[in-house]
Amino acid sequence: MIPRPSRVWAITRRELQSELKGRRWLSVPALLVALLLPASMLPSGGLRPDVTFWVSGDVPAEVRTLETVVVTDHPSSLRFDASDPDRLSLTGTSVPPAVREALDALHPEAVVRVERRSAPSQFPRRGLLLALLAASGLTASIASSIGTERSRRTLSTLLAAAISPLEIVLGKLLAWGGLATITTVLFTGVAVLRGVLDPGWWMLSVFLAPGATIALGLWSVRQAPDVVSATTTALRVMPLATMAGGITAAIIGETNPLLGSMVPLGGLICTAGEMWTLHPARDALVAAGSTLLATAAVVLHTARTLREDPDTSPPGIGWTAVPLPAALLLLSTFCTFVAPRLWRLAGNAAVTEDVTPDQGAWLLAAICLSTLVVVLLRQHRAGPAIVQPAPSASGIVGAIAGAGLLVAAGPWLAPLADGGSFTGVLAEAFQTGLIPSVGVPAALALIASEELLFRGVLAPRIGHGPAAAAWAIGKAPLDPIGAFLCGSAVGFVGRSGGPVATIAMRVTWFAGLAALS
Amino acid sequence: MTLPLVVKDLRKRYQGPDGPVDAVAGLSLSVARGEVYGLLGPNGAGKTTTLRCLATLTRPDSGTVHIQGVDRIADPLGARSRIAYVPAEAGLPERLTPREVVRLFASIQGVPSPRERAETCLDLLSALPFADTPCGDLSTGMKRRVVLARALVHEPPLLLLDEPTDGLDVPGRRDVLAVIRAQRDAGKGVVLSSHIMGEVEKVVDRVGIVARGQLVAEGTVREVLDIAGAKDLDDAFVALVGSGAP
Amino acid sequence: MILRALLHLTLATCRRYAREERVLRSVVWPIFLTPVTLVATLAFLTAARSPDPTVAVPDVTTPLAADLAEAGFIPVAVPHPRDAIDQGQTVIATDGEVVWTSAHSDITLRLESAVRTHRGSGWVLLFQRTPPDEQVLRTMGGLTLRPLAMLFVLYALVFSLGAISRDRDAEILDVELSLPLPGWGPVLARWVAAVLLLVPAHGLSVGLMQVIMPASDPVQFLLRGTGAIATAAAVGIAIAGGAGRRQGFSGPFAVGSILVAGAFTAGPLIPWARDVLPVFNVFTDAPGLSSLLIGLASGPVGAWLHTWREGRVR
Repeated sequence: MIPRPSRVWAITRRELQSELKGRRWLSVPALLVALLLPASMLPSGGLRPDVTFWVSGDVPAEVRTLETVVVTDHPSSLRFDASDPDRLSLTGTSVPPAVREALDALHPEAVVRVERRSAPSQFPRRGLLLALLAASGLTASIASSIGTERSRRTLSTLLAAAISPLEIVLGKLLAWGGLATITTVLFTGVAVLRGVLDPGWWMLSVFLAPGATIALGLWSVRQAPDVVSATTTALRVMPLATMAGGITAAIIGETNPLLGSMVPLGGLICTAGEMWTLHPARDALVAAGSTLLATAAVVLHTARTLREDPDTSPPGIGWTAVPLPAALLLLSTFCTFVAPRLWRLAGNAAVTEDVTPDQGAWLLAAICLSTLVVVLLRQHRAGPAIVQPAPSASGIVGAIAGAGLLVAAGPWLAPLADGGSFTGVLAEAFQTGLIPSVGVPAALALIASEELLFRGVLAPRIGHGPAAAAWAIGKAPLDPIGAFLCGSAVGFVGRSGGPVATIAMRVTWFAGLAALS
Repeated sequence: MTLPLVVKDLRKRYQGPDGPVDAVAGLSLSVARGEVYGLLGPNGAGKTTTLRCLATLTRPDSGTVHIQGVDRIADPLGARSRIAYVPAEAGLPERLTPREVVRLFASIQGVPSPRERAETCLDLLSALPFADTPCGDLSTGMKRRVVLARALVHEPPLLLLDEPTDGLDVPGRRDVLAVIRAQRDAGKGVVLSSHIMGEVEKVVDRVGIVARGQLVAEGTVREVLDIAGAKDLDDAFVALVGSGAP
Repeated sequence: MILRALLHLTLATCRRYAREERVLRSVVWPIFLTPVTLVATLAFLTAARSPDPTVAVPDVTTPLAADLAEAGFIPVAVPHPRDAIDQGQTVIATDGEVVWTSAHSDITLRLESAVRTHRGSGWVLLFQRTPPDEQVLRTMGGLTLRPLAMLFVLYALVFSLGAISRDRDAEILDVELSLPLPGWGPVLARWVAAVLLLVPAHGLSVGLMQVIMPASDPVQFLLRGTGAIATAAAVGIAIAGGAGRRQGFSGPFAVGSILVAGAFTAGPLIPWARDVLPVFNVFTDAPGLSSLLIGLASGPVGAWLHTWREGRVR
C-alpha cells in the first residue's frame, strides 16, 4: 500500500506537537544547538592528529632541523641508529615524508620511491561529527516516540485507526529524521560558510546520515513497552550500530573504498568524514544508495512488526536459557584465560601480566552469580520448573566417593597418563575442565558459583542436558575435549544429586589433587 | 463522633492557557460514617481535582480539609494513613504481582501481619486465582479488584474512589458496587466520583453535583431529584448543570 | 516506621526494575561490549599478522627476487608489476626502484626496507612495531573506561527521569504519594533502585575491562563512576519534578542531557570542579572519594528538589 502523504504529515505534526510542548519545548532544539554549534564553528585542524613527529637516537642534523620533527631522549616513534658506518638504521613503524626527503637527499644514490596506487584512508574530518551528532541528540525523542505511545496505549489506538503502520513509521521518521536533517543542514552550512569545511560530495552523506540513523533507532525501539526500556535500548543499539558500521566500512575501505562505501550507514559515515579521497563522488553516491536501500528495508520491517504486542511474548527464561549463560561463561573464559595468548600473538604480552588467573576466576564466579540472580528474578515469568527428584544423600555420597576413588587411584593411573595416550588425554581433559588452575579460595568460589548457576538454577528449568551443554560451550576455549567430557560427567552427576553433589564431587577432586601434589 | 471527612470552602486555581481557571471554587461537604457520597459532574467540573486535594496529592489554595479530625494541611502524613485513594487509572506496576502489591501496601501502612492481611483482602475481592500473575497481564476487571484489595488492606475510615467502575463490564461493575456497599455497611466513609448517573443511584446515600468547581446541588438522591424536578439523576444533572442553580 | 516503609518501597522498585528484560539487557550489555570490542580488536590484530604476501616483480630469477624472498616475501613474476596492483592481483609490487602499493603501511614499509637493503641505500627502516608499554596500555584502558562511565551516567538519567515520567502517566506515583510517607519518599526510592541496579553493572564492566586492559587505579574509576551515576540519577528526579502529567519525555531528558554533557565537558577545564564534583570528574584522574560522597548525598537533595518543584506546580 502506498503511503498517503496527508496521513504521514498528520503523524509528523502530532509527533512534534506532543513531544515539543509545555515549558520545555525549547530543550530539544537547545540540545541540538549545543551539540552542533561547536562542531560547526571550531576552527579546522582541531580534530586532526598532531603533525609533530618525535625522533630519538643518532638523528642526522638535516632531520633535526625539520620543523615537524622533535628530538627527544625518551623512547620515540622513530629511533635512529648510526652504529653501522655504511647504513643509517631507523627503527619504528613509519617515516614521515619530510624525514624521508631529508634522508634521500643525504643518500641520493639509491633512492626508492614509494607510489601508492590507492589513496590511504585519512583521519575522518569534521563532517563525520556533524553526521552523527544530531541523531544522537534525539535518542530520547525517538525512544519516547514509540515507548511512551505504547505505555499510554495511544499506539494501539492509532493502529486501530484508518492509517497504516507504514504511514505511522514514516510520519515519525519524518518528524525526527526531518528535525535532525534540518539541523544538520543548517550547521553544515555554518561550517562551510565559516570556512571550517570546504563544500563537496561529503555533504550528501552528512545530510542523509541523520535520517538513516533515526530510522535505525525507531527500528530498535519498535517493541519497547515504555520509555525507559526504549531509551536504554536506543542508547545501546544506535551507537553500536553506527560504530560497528563505521569501523567495518573503514577497515574494508582501507583496501577498497568502493566496497567500503557499500556498507550501509558505515559507508555513509566514512564518506561524510571524507576518509577516502580518490573518488569522492562515486563513494558518496554509492554510500547514499546502499544506505537508502537499507533504510527502506529497516522502515518496512519496523512497520511490519509495529503491531506486535511486546507483552504477549511467551513467559519464561527464553533466550537466556542456554545462549546467555553459555555466552557469559564463554566470554569470561575467553577474556580471562585466552586473551593473554591473543595479546602475545598480537605482539604484546605485557598487558595481562598483572592479571592473575585467580583474578579471572573471581570475576568468573561473580558473573555466574550475577546470572543466577537474573535468572531467579525472572522466575515469576518462567514456566513450571522441570520436576526432578530432590538431591539424595546417596547421590551426594556417591559423587564424593567416586571422585575420591579416582584421585586415590591417581598414582596407579599416572603412568598411563602420558601425553600421547588416549588415557592421558582424558586425564588431562578432566583435570583442566573440572579444576581451575587457581588458588584455593578462588577455585572454591568458581566451582560453587558455576554449579549453583548451571545445576542449581538452570538445569531444573531447561533440563540437565541443555545446562550441561551450556557449561561445556563456556569451557570449550580452554579445552574442547575436556569441556565435553566434564560437561557430560557433571551433568550426569547433577541429574541424580543436584548442585550439592556436583559441588562435592569437584571439591573432592580438587582437594584430592591438591593433597597429592 | 468524628466525621470521616469535613471539607470547608475548598479552593484550587490553576493557570490555564487562557488565564487562571478555578478548578475548585469554594466547595464544602461532609461525609459521615457508613455513608457513600457521590461526587457527580461533567468532565472538567472539578471532581478529580477535589479528590486529589483530599488525597493530599494537590495542595488547595485555601479552605480546610479534616479527615477523621486530622487537618490535611497541617498533618498530611496523618491524613494519608486514614485514607485510601483509588485513581481512575489502576496505578498498578506492571511487573509486580497482585500479591506483591497488596503486601507492599500492607507493609507500608504498618498493618500487623501484612502477609495474612494481604491474603484476606485478595480473597475478599476474589483475586486469589490471579494473585501471582504480573499486573501487566491482568484484565481491567482483575486490575480493579486488585486496586480495591490494595485500598482496603489497612482498613481506612475514608475511601476516595475516582471513576471506580470505568472500563468495567456489567459483572465487574456489579462487583465493585457490592464492595462499596460492604464498606459502607462496615462503617466506612466513601467518596466516589463518577459521571455514570444510573449506576451511582444504586449505591450512594448522598449526592453532590459539581459544575464549574462548585456544588450546584447536594442531598439524598430524592432531594436532588426534587430540587431539579427530574425523574432520574441523568435529567436532574442536565437540569442543574445547565441552569447552574443551587 | 517511615524508614521501614521506605525500605519496602525501595525493594519493590528494585524488583520492578530487575524484571524488565530490556532494561536488564541494556544494563548487562556494556559489561560485555567493551571486552567484546577489545577481543575483536585483538583477534583482528592477530589475524592481520598474516604471512607475508606475494610481491609482483618483473623477474623472479634476479637478485632482487632473491633478496625479497630472503626478507620473507614471495616474489611472483609479472610483466608489469604496477598493473598487477591496479588489476587487483596483488597489493605490493616493485621493480627495484619504485615500490607500488595499495596495502597498508606495515607491509609497504617492510617491502621498501627490503628494496632499500637490496639497493644498498644509505638508510633503511627496520620495521618494528614496539608493543606499547604498560603506561600507554593503562592510559588506553583508562580511555575506554571513561566512555563506559558516560554511558552509565546516561542510563542513570534515563532510569530516574523515565521511571518517574512513566509512573506519573500510569498514576502509580500518585497512589504511592497518597501513602503515609513523606512526599520525597517514593521519589527517593526510585533513586536508590536506579543506583543499586546501575552501580554493580558498572563495577562488573570495569572488572571485565581490567582483565583485558587494566587501567591505572581502577578503584578510583569505580568511585568516580558511582558518584557520577548517583548524581545523574538525582539530576533526573529533580528535573522530573514539576514536569506535569503527559509532558513529553524528550524535553526533560534534553535538559538533563545538556546538564550532564556540560559537566563532562567543563570538568577537565575547571580545576576545583574536576577535583571534587561527580560527573565533572569522569574524564579526569581526580580522586573519586569526594565525588562518591557527594553523589550519594545528591539523592536526597534531588528528591527534595523534586518535591519542592512539584509543590509549586501542584
